[in-house]
Amino acid sequence: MRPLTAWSFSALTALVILAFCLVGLTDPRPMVEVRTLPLITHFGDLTSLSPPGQAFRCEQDGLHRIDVRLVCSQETRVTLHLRPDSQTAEVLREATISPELDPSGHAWSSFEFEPIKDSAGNIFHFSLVPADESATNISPWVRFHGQTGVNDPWGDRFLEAGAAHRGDFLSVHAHFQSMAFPVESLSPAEGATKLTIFDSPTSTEPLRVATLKPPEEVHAGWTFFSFEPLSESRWRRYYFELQVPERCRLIGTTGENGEGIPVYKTFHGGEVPDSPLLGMTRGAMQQLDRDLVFRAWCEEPPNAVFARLLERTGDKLWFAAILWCLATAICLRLFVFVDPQPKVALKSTPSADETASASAPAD
Amino acid sequence: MFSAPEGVKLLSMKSWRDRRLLLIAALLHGLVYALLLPAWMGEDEPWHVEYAHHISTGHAPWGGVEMHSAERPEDDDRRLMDLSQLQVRRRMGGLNPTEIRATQLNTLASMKEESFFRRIDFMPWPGGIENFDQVQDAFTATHQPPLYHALGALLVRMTGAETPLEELRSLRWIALACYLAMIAATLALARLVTDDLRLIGLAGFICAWLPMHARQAAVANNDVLANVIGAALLFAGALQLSRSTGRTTTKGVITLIVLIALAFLTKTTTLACALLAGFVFLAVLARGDGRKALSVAVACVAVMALGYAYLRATHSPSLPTSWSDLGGRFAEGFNAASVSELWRTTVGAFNWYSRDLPGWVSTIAMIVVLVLMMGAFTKTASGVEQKGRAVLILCLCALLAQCVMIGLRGVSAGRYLFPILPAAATLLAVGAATIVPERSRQRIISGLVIAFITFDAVFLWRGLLVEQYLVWGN
Repeated sequence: MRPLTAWSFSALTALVILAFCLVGLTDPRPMVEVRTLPLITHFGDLTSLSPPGQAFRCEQDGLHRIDVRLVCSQETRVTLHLRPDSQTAEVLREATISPELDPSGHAWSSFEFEPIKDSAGNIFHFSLVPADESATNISPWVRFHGQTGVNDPWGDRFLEAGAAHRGDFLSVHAHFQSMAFPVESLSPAEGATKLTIFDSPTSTEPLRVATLKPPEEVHAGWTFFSFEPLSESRWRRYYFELQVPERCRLIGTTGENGEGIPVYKTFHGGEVPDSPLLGMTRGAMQQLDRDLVFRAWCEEPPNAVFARLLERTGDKLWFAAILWCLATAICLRLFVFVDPQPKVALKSTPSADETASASAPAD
Repeated sequence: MFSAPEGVKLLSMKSWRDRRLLLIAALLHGLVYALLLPAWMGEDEPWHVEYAHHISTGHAPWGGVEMHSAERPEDDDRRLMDLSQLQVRRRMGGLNPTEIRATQLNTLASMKEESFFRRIDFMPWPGGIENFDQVQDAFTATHQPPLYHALGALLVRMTGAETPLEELRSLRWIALACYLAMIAATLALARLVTDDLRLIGLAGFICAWLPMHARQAAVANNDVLANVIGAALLFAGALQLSRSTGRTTTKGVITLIVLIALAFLTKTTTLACALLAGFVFLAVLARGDGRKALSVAVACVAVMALGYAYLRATHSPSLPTSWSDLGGRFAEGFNAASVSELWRTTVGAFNWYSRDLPGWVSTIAMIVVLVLMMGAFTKTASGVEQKGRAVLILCLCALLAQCVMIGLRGVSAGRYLFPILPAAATLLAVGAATIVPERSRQRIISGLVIAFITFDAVFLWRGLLVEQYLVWGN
């Protein structure tokens, strides 16, 4: 093969490989996605009385699919209701599916519906309700807007029902703003459900009080108590008292002396501006400090995905593509499209002319 | 070991011209990664930039204030500042808390600006984050030996970088230089095994085109310097083995001792290479001059003891603190999950290892590597030429020793394997030549090169580009 031809083949092959790879880049990607690992707090069983929901701002046209991460340990059916603006509007789209059985809850359950052509710039709300009244053992994940401080896992025993639970902990971060407890079943309609935070075990003046109200029912899930952040909370010890209705049992663990003690998570931090996520809902109640773990898909034309890529990479993408082609072409020329081997028997010594021509720069 | 026919040697890999071309290709390839890897997306970059920043502002990596824990939290030093900041204060002399906090805040602001938190799935909610402990608990780079960070600080001063982002970019130039040095080291090592210039070139190419290693060309992390020092140690050992006289020179011994010292000043991932190189020197010396062997052994052991004491004094978390800790690390490092993690992060993982390549790519890569390694093993076992065979055995030992070393650290990551990448690449190239007859060698080389290029393309354009720029969390 002549040097020029070899270089041409090398460059062409590099271009073909690059083009093949770039074509795949136009596959659609989620328009909005709550990506969070590990998944640490789940909502609890779905109920039709106070279904979990989520509001978000759609930035593209053609909204046609919403995926939700669901913990699902038995076969059941779930319906997604999509509404414009808020949970009080008329249902715009509805989709019912049987989620994949996945007790770990990492699988996405996809709800597809007829595309909404002019979805860009609009706010949508979706909620999840059990399609069969008896549906249990299915729960979406919740991502709270904060960093964890204390981060206990789900407990291994029930605590005494209706008791006032107390504890204390050292807050390692500033901006302490919420606590979450796992419960077997909690219904604020049945009695006072209140978390009180103190800065000393003897104090009678609480720093913060968080009270849950009736729609906030939780069954086999985490219940959150949010309050005005304590900005100077770093390396401070706090004491809490959790009061729950008589029939409510917390899920806790066993303390050093064999007694039942609560497990919980603490959250610290603040909000992030300009997010398309507009918070969760529980029935009619808004919960702006958390989101469901979900993603939304729009029908994007391939050039829109590529335009987004260009916007995020800038000119770097073109430079990189050119450099990659050059580098690859050089390697192909060196190893693949090589000069022909001499037709003489390999063991023979090449003539002086052959050696000279081979040693000279090829091109 | 492999002698190529003269005609092939001259025509297909034209000596220095072709090696220069390969290095130019590698430079371009490294630049591609430098362009496309977004800021802060190299593993642990914020902590390494923080360390280099403090040295660049005139603070020495010694003379800091010791920190104390206490039974009562009220007496614990953590009441003063966060653990990551206390660790910085413990290492750096003359740093005040305000400066430490300001550096972390500036870096965090830059990370938010560059969409860091949207790209890494295991990162916490970014709202209200004020220190590195909220990003990764109780983590710091300041317990690492300071050579890389001192070089980085020098470069930061030379380039006049002021913001964390500019400092990061300055440090990334070191990565590119180290990447090229690794390829040069691979070419040199392979040259000691074979005379076939195609295989030498192939080894260099494998080193340059292994995507996760090419990505190291753009990462501000002391692993990049550790790679070069590990490779240099291996080369020094291999050179010693391949000397026909079987004797060492004073220059060689001094080089070895300096490299061992540099290894201790860079990162513990180089220690397997240091031990192996030291052993090779002693083994060669012991065959001839016993007195010289003894002096070299004393010098090596002295440097290693000093290095160990230094690492211990700087609270290196890589060293086990007790026998039970060692046992725990051993169990952790050699369980199935760790081995799988080592493979996963060697073949391809993105966004601080939080996202993977498709499983089929990993499976194909594993089959190819196993076949080629089998070939290398066969050649080592049946090789006839003593010189090349000894170097191949060294390469196999290096691979094994590095895996054991990673296991003993208890934390698996593919980048910890890269100090012995020149050895691994040489073994793969030799393996490729072994599994086919001589007349088909060109075909297998072409096939492998195309396979690596395709792998690199899939990794870069369908993996890295998508995961870093198209899939952002909210």
